[in-house]
Amino acid sequence: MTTRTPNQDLAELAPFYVAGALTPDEQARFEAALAQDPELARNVAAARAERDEILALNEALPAPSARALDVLFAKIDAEPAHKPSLWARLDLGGALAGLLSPRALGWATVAACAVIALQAGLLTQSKLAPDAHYSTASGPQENVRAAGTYALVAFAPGANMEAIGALLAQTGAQIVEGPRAGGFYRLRIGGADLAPAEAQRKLDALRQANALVRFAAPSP
Amino acid sequence: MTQDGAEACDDPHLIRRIAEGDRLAMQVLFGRHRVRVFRFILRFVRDEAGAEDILAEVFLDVWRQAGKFEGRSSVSTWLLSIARFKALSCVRQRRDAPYDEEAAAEIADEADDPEIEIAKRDKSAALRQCLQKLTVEHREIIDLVYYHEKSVEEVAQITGVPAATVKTRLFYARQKLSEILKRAGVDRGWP
Repeated sequence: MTTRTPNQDLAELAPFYVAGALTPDEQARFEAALAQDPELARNVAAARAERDEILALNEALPAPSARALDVLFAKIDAEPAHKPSLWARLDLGGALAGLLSPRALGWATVAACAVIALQAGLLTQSKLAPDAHYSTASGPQENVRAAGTYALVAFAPGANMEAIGALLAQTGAQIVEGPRAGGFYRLRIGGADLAPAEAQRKLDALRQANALVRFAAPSP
Repeated sequence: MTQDGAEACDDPHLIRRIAEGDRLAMQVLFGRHRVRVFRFILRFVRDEAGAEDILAEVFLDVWRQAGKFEGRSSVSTWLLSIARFKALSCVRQRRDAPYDEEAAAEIADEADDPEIEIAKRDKSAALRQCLQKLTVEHREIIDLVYYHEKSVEEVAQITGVPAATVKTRLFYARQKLSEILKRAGVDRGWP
């Protein structure tokens, strides 16, 4: 049986208050009532205890292994390529129409088709060439929960994602966790069988990119 | 990162870039949300390999649907909504199996056990034990509020029930928790 309280609407909001999930108006109303109502204060104390144990229970749960990212990118690899946005396509068409006569536009279309066909060929070729296509850090069949060589990295203020992406691709690193407190990311820089000298070389490469990386260290 | 850098990496920005096929943005978004979404899924499916497969499916949906994301909810709320749908679909498929351990596990086990007996000496340990005796439905809503820090409206969106039901369901779950604790000999002073 549910026991209803005189301030039932506020009593129901206690967990949301503790979780910081009330709107500013609700929070002000809740805090005003809290100062006057000992029952509501007991409710909040109980909710805080619940929150602490729920956090402990969840933090005790495992995190997904690196396999999950491998599975995801294997599935993404099997997807058709994303089309450029409609806006981008309209913008290009508008610019071409403004610059070229209908006859020239026709030739431009033929040329564009040729470029697209060439790109498609290159993409297909890159799919077939294992060294050239996007690859994740390990194969989908590999059990990599504990296996792997990791680094803890914090990126420099102002570093942009394109540059970070290029650096990750260059070092064969994959973001596996983050950002943690302080803006740290955990990167997988290789398998468990990565030679220590090679791991050090990758770590040095990350550190040398000091315009992008402000901290890099081995991570368990 | 600078303020600009931080803004350039916020979730809606990542979603826009994913819609354009940006894998780094996908990797960043995955890295940012994978643990919480995985743990949410794990509550339903109870096996890590299965939860990882569902996690990959959730983010594959993001990859496919990013262009349709309108930002009416936060990205994390969107992810949890997809995760819940996929996890429940998986559980329903398993229910069709001749013997269903998962369905049995969904029934709350309120009986006292030796662990609670030991935990009586430690109130917080007892509370932790009793939280695990709640039904999946009650535990889900408690996790969404305390661990995922979702508002009434966000929980309603993720679970597909009205906001008023979210509040009463959570209140009832908390009272149920007090009852289980009381039966285990622990009075937590509320309600």
